[in-house]
Amino acid sequence: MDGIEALEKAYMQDGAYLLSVCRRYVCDPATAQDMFQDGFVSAYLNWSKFRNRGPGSLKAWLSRIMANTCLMYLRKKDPMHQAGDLASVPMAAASDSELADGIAGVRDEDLYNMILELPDMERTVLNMFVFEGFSHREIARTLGIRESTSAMRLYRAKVHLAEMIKDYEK
Amino acid sequence: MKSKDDIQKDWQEILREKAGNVAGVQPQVSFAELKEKMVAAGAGVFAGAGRGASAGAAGASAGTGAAAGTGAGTGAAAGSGRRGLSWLKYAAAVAVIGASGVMLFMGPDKGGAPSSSTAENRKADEVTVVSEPVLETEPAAAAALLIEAVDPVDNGQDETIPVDLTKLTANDAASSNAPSGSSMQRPGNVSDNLSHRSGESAGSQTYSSGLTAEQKASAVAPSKSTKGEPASTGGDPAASVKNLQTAEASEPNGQINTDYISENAESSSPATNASNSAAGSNDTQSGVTPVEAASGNATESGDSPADAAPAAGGIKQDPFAEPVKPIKKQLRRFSVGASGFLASNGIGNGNSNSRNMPADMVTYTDRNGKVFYSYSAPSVRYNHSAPISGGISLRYNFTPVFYAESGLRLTYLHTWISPSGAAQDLLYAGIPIGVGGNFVRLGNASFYASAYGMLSKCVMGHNSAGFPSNYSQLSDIPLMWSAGASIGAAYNITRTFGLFAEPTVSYYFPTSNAPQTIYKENPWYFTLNLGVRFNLN
Repeated sequence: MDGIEALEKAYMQDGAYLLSVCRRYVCDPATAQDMFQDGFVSAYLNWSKFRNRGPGSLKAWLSRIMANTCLMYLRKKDPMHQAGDLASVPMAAASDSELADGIAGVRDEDLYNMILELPDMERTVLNMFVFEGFSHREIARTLGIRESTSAMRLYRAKVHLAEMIKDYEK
Repeated sequence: MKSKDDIQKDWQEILREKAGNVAGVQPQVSFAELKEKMVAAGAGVFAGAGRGASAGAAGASAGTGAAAGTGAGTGAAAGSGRRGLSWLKYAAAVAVIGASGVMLFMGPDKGGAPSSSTAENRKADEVTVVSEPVLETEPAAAAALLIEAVDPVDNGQDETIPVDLTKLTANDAASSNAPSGSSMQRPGNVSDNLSHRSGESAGSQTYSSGLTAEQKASAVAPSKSTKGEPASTGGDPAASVKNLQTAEASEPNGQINTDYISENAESSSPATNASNSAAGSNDTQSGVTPVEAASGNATESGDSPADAAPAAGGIKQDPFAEPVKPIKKQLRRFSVGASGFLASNGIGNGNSNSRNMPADMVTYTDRNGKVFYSYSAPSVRYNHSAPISGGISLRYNFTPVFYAESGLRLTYLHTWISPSGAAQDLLYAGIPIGVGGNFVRLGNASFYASAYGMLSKCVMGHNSAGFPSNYSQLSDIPLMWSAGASIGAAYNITRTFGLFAEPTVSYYFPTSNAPQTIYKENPWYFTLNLGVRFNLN
């Protein structure tokens, strides 16, 4: 199976999911569509680098490319260098256990939309940390920020997410 | 009760499961449109890809050059860069295979003619080992024993002529006990005769005037044994017979001229038999004839013209003997080997090459030192491919037994990291330094053991997903130290070329800030090195 065929199959099966990955990074729908297309073009151009490791590997590889494409876009947009004052970071509005319980009680689509509502910098770090599995050191190097900034943004994302879940429960 | 780690994992995992699999709206663009864009972009890229393609070809040919024996490391390293890594492991494999091919080409002597110094290490071993009993036996026996130091194929003759051992041994036994005047040679005579014997027996090797250093080294044992003693004293006829039988068995090409021996048996001076039997060659360079040996004066070449007269005592010249040449070396000092391995398993860690790393708790504090946030890194799984390694080594034999070894070894380590999907590729170049010994020789096979230490430096590395690793540059990656021991079996297909297999146990010293590799997780490692070795002159 050549690249075009495999990508067409992936498009048919996982197109919606891959677009949702783009939207998680760039919540603007039109921009996400652009990122989706750019991601597929990038996948086609780099098809030789793909290593088939069994079912799901193409989906994982494509989602990685989508995330990369979005990160490149966000880096150009440069929303990351709005460093916050660590001293002004609010304390957590909810404990982790409460947050876990709250997340469990929210519908998947609603939770997804909550993530889209997060500020760009917080959403980006949350996506990379939680969904892509990067460490703060890797996030810091990728985005050109400090590790502590990455950690702070994740913390803020958590706080914001907890607040939204509280509002959702109401 | 759940720990904080569990709770943190919970909210992350729940979030990942619930929001990560949400399939939103369908893409607006159809795949047909997408395909047009992809093809158009591909055409643009491929139109300008000529340079990249040729760079790849250059890298590949550099790898082939490495296979030609110029150094696997050089060739493999020549393919640096992301493009080079995709073919790196293939180039390494080609390097090893190519090295063996080149060595096959270079190994055998052209035309099948034996070289002048075909003496393997084993010959020197035989000299050392076999000559030890001679210390307590007769010089004649010692002379015969020295033949064992001779390359049995150096004369290029394959035929074996049966020997009348009855005559030979009886005569020799008589000679070793005969207190005749002619047997009362000065000690040097014995050793000189021995050296004649050695030189003649060496076939294509030269007997030059006097003793060469190698001859002296070969004859050191019998020289000592006869020093200050009459040639006929203290001998054990049985030992002589036995030793002469041994000598017969190891005569050049296994051949002994029957006539020549029988005439020796009839020699009037029994004590000269050893010399006679040793002086069966037509020493055109040295001018020494069998007469000299028979007369007990064949101590040095370039004697009086009378010494060079044809044998009057009916001693025939060995028709198979060739003009002798200088003995250059009896020990092949250098050998070059190329080896590699593909797959192996860590000791004590089963066959699994993947591992979940424990969560890493990180805490951040504000300016007042108050903890404002802590988190545990998500569980990361490392799937390590079997390392691919190859290299070349240079061995120097200090003695027939002990040697030192060094070289260059390249090791390719691939790791697939999930859930990020990133692939980590690292190429280490290591310089091993080791010592060892050849302990057992059985014909063309030899068995040895060695120990080594190796210092490896990462010379290439990248992450296929395009994300940076924790190291901004190669110099950030610490050196990798390892040590190991191996036992090996080698088989010499020709005098210069052989194959070997070395089961090796290695230990890679853990370094805290080293990249996550299979060696970091399984520091004990067992490998089977397979390779070829080329014995240099």
